[in-house]
Amino acid sequence: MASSTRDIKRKIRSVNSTMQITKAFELVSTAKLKRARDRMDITKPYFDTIQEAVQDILGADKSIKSQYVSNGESSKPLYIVVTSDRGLCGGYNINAIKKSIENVTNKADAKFIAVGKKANDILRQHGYNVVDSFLYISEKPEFTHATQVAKAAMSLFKTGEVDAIHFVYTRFVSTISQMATDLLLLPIERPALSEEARGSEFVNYEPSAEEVLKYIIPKYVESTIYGGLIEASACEQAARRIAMENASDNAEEIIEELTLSFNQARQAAITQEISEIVGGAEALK
Amino acid sequence: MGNKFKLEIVTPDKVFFSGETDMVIMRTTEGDIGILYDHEPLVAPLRIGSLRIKQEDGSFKWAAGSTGFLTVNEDQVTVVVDSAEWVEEIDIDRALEAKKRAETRIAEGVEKGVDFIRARAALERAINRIKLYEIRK
Repeated sequence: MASSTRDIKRKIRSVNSTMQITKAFELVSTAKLKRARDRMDITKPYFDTIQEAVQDILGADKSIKSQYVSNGESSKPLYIVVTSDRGLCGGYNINAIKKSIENVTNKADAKFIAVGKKANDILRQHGYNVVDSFLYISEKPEFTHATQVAKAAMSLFKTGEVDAIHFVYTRFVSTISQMATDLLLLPIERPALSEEARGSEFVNYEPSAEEVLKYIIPKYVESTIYGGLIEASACEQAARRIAMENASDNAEEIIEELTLSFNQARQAAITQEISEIVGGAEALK
Repeated sequence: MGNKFKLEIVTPDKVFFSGETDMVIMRTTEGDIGILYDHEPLVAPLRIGSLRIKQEDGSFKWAAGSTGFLTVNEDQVTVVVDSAEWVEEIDIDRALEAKKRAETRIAEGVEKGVDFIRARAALERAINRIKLYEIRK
């Protein structure tokens, strides 16, 4: 019996130290989440402005022809998958990866650019064609990182190795809810023309609409990737915070249970000792 | 002071400027362009150069801008640039250093396979900063 109380005690200690770690992680990600959200708020206007401008240009002018504008089906998609470098963040990584391979029918045709170690490892393990990977940038994405990713993707698109670029990242809905999303970066879907007088409004393009698009679309890709990276980094922290919070709660529960059985075991040991003593005294009579 | 319009300048890391003015001058790929109230709708890419915003007292507030583009529509002018800074905030030592670095990188680029386009853009940005700093000193 004595050994069992010692075992339980050891278990409690071990769970306790795990809980300390998860608690610390939780605090760290709470702080990081705040910072990531601040950054997200800062970059939002830029992100939105470019999005709007591209939609406006394509919406206003029907005559624009460009390799970047959608013309039907694609057979050689490229997926840019954004995940974290580290685990312990619940379903965050696996949801993004699942989302990316959800529509892949033919493994041989689809190419992947992995952002974050998790996507890189898991996709390679399952035999997907990872053409490029960017590690250790997903926690603190900078604009230059986005430029690099965009460059890699655009060069594949330009050479015709891929004919569509999907950007899979996790959208920040709220601190307790994140959603993996698949965004079609290129070719751009032409927005449905609004019924208002937009068609008649004359917009001047300097030097020409095609030239402007040629310039703006890479910008659009860059900024969308940048916005996505920032958003995903906020999601990572949010997901980790929740996962760690749950882990801490569970640890507490386990400790409670273990303490109960520890007390029971101790009580049982005492009771046994007493009955042994009583039994011994009785035998001496 | 003429009629005013709304001007917004955004960079990836902040809203650089948001307010009203009656004239803004910047450098597009086709040359300098000045925009007044009620300009026709326009979209144009921007080059590395200066951004000048007219202030209340009629003087211009100068800023160094990087590449980007501008859109003019009925109610406002939006400028999207990779980076922008007020001339007063230019760190001249840093700009000089960046210039030197870019120059050496271009000079030794042949053997080392340096990314020329990037080095040249960096050089251009540094020169732009230095030039504007000198003008406004």
